[in-house]
Amino acid sequence: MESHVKYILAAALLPFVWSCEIYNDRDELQEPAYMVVQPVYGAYVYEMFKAAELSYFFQQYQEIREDREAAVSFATEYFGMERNWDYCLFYEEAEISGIGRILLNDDGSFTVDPSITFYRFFPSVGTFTVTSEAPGRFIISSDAADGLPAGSVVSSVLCDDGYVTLEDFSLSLDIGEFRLDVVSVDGEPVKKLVAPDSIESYQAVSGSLSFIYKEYDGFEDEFELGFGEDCVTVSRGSSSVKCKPLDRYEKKYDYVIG
Amino acid sequence: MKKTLLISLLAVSALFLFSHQSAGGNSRPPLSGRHEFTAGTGIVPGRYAFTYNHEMPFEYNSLHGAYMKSRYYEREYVSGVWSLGYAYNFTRVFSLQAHLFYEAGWIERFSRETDMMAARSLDSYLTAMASFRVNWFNRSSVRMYSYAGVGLSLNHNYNDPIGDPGQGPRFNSLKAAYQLTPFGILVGRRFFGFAEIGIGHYFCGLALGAGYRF
Repeated sequence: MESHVKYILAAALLPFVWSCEIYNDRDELQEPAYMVVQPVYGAYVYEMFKAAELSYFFQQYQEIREDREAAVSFATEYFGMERNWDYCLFYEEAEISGIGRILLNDDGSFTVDPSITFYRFFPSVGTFTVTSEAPGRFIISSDAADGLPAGSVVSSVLCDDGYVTLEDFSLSLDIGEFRLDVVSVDGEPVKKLVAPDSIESYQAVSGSLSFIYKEYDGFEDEFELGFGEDCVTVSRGSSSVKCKPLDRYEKKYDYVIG
Repeated sequence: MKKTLLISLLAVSALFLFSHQSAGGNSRPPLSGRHEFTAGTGIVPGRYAFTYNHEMPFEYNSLHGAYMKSRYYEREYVSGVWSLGYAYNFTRVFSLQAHLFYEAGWIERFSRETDMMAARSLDSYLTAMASFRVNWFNRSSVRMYSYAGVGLSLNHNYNDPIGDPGQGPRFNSLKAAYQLTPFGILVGRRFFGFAEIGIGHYFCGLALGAGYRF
């Protein structure tokens, strides 16, 4: 009787020797476009928002720069914190740490040198050239002459009511192995809230961008990136995938893309 | 893995019960078994603890790689470690052991579109190990011991490229193997169960098993 039970137990152990599955990602969300949009947004769209904020500040500052007290109080209110303005705010130049440096050129245009964070796969912009068309209205661009060797980015921008809108955003890059074209989707205005204090959150709150990603060996992907309250959406035709937000920090301000 | 642990515990407990039943009366002479045969398993397996050699079929550091990877899903398996052992007891205190044990980890990749297998990757080890054991606590039905061993593992490894299941090159190599087990306990007379705590290429953590000695 004893030996029978022992044989049964030994046989029972055998099935557990094989096929012990420890990992299976069959049902995990896979959205490769997220790896495209995250660095593109950070390297170009966000940087353009920063350039717009600096330009809007500097444009208004030019009107009152002679009155130092008023200028410093305006700068403190605009950027939301006391900075050592004597060391970074001048008639023709201002440097806001964490955002960038802005210079007034002889022809009245600005050059913005953003404080760059580096992103994977895409080259950073060098500087932006900003021409002002009216109070709060700018054309912001960067291309090979500004230090972006692989293409160009340009947008007309409107700053008002605490928002920044990127209208007519257009990015075109040729990296060698692939090319990327990004444009704002027609008819949807892009708006961003100008941050009164330190910019830690930069995701747009509404609008969308259309991406065309083409690898030179034939592979292509076309999709729309939509911005929402707590996430971004990647849409291809009628199907869409919700992805985590592009910025990692607590969202404080409203950014919009259209 | 949890099921394996549970069944192993049940098997070992059952064998404890059986060995007590066969103990007999108080006048039995003390057991002086020279030969021991064992079968056991370990949690966690040693090579698993030191990680298997599975090559990534996609370049993760490129957008192209990210697009490729999204078209497949993977299932990863581990066999656990299973051993057969023999020990020769020179004296009550010193023993020489020989173990043969096997362990494997493998990954299967499937196309998300068709659910067909696209690639397979396997890392398996068959190890022969000799070890020297000191039995520092020895009674007729309980023994506590420690051992250290060295051995050789025959490693069979292959990583199929995506889209060519079964077509990747196969590699066989010999690798060194070590095991240090500072504490082991054996309970039983003829039939016994054992539990060990140790670190090495056999197991990292706990080993359990049963055996017969004469």
